Amino acid sequence: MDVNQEIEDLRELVGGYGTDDDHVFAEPWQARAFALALALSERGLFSLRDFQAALIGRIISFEKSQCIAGTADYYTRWIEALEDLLEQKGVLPGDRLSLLERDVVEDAASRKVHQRMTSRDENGKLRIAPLLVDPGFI
Amino acid sequence: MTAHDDHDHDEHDQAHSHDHDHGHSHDHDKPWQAVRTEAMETLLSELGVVDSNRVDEIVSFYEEGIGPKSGARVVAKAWTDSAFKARLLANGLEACAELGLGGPETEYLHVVENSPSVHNVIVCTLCSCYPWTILGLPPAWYKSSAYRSRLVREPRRVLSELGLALDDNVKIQVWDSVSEIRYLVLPERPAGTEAMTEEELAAIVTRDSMIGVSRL
Repeated sequence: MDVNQEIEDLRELVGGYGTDDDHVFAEPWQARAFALALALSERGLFSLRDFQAALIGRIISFEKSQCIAGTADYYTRWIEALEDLLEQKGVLPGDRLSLLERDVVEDAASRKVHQRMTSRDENGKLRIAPLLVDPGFI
Repeated sequence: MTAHDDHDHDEHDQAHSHDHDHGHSHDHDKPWQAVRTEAMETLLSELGVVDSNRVDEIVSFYEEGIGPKSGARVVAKAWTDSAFKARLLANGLEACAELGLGGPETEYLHVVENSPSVHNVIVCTLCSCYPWTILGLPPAWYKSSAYRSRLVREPRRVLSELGLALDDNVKIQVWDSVSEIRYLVLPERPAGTEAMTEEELAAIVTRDSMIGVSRL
């Protein structure tokens, strides 16, 4: 089966859980998690069928006590399923993941501070101006 | 709505005990899922198990119908309705809201207009700030160190490398997106499109033209 067909099949799986308005993914991380799973299966780390099984397992487990009310709930299960499979394959070494997560969070926090400092003037007003102008040949 | 508090962690391997802050006390913009996904992709990419470019392609496959088409509608309307265009340039966010675009968390949107003598291009030098509720998800190259650092040093050259050769007398304005202000380029309407309907016009507007790395 070619990759695009596999993608279509998975798309149906996604569609089955509903989407918010006409956004396929309510947030960027959902798209990334989705695409990551597909890309990994393309590379042969696991089959889409394996992934689907892992996902269903997580959904069932979740739905024992809760409902999947939106895409966030759904894709969180997706991430969990991904982690399950990666652990199974022994692909996630030690605590490298949590170390990386710490980096991601710290990075984001320090960028935010920096951005807040640079995007407003001394009166707290939003500063809207090009960062750089190349005037061209005058 | 977040299901975090009820989240069952028992089955997770202690190898990645997540100490993530469910209260998001220090970073409202980054839910733990986003942190996890980013860390996973980085790690898997480092291990050579996945190629981020391929992940991008897959995202685009699904986003192309959603994101850029929303921005394209905005552009097409601006081209055909001069009062709307004036409102768009004055307050991008409010104007887009007229079309049902944007959302509760959308930061300020500033729309910059291209002309024969002025070309605008957008970057986020620090990370990947992008008007994603209007354009969908940003492409990988937009997030690359190369684009982010080089565009602000040598914009004319970078644009040329990306396939956009501008005349020397065209002024280039580089806009740096931050978390509070996102930018969108209003491309020039191409010649020969006078007879096209708004819908037909929207179909010819590309994502890259709204970022500013190409012209229509």
